[in-house]
Amino acid sequence: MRKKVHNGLIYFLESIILLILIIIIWCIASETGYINEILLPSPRMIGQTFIKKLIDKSLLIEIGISIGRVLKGYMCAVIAGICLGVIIGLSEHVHHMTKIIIQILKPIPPIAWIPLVILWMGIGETSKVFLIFLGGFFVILLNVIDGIRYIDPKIVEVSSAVETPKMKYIFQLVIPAAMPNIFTGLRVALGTSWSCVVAAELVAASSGVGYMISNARNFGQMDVVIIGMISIGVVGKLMDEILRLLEKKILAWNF
Amino acid sequence: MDYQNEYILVKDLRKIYARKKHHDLLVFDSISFAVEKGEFICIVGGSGCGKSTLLRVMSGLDSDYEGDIIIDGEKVKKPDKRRGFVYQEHRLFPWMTVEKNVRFVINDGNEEENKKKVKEILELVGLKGFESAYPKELSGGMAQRVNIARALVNKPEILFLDEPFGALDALTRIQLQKELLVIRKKQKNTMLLVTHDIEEAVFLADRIIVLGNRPAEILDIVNVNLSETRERSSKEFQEIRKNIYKYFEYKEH
Repeated sequence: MRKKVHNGLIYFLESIILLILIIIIWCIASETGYINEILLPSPRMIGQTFIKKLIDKSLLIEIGISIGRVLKGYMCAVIAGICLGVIIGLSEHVHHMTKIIIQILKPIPPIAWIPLVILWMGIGETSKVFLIFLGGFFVILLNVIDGIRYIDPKIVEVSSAVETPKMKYIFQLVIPAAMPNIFTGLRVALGTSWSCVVAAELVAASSGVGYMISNARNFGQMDVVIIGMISIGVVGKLMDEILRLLEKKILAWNF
Repeated sequence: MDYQNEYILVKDLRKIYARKKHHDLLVFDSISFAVEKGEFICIVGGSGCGKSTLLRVMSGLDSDYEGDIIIDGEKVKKPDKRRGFVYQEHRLFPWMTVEKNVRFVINDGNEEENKKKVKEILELVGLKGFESAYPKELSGGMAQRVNIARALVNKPEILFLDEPFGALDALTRIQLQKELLVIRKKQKNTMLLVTHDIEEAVFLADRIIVLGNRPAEILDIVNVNLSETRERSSKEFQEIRKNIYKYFEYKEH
């Protein structure tokens, strides 16, 4: 146990060192003129712009707006994904009936929906939230369905042998048993939802990180573009960490 | 033979296991026996002989059979809470504490009463103090105790046990065998236990049903006329053991 903690710390330090190393090389290459600053701004430039954007709070505001949108769309995806997933997963009949539709809809990336979604819902908030919803929904749905379908039939027999009422069966057995899979879905879906918000904002928005990037692109501010990109990455990682902690807490029995 | 007044009656039982790519498999054929109320029956047989299937069919877990299984005058068609089943693997829900695992199988009565029931039964199987433990924190023997508690909590008249101690180490197994006899004395259940361990059968049973291989048939029903407290090393014990063992000795054809 002690050794495991020890190794974890070393890996973490190593990954930080690798990161710093890459930045240092990038710095040196920029300062010595190996890299054209118009094509790739130097870390120093990026750092300066970053501090400026922190001080005038514009970066945090844009990130906050994007996160707000993601949370709305993602929550819709969670609720719809789990409810429909439970219904489909519990019934062999419904599962076979819906299988083909789901399998065809699933590979369509949310970006491909953009023209239709804008036509239907305009370029306001609803269309963005809907795209985020699409980005998370199928991942959650499929994981919930699989989680339920692969519950050990031996455990189900314990319940059916004593004629457990349906609701008790669903809430005390089916959902907890599928929870590890459901959580996998929730985590992957949060990542895909987050990617979708940026895609949505790149197309039609006047706020958010995606807007910040596309706007900076029009003015040739590659430093702002990179700050936007890194923000997306960092926020995505942080959100995943939060869900991971939540998972460890809720699924303590599984670790 | 007149079986009409028997507590449990199994008559001309036949079970076919339908397979997709092979011929259907006849698991057992023309199995008949009767069990008296309060009796402890052990069913012994080699692995894969269908003894677990026989138990599942008798308890109602598997309703796809031909012939008759009549318990207390009623034909068995599905599981019933008057019949408890101790599974071979503990089958505990890892997300529930010991107490909740046992409570899950109670589907009637009020909260207070059920709480008391669970408490009593956990005490009976020697799990007092482990109510809030999770299955992953339990040893194999403890998990099997919970499994037994879960089968007992609805106060079944008959307890079916499918190789309940098969996965345990020898010392734990002997300990649990003793405890099972204590439980039986207190609860007065009729017990049917499937095992491949002949010594276990002789230690526990009033009568032992010896099953032969595929399709399974009853080779012998052995009365175990030993005192209540049985000494494994005694001559009488070994005699019965040897008698049963001879059915499973390798025969050259």
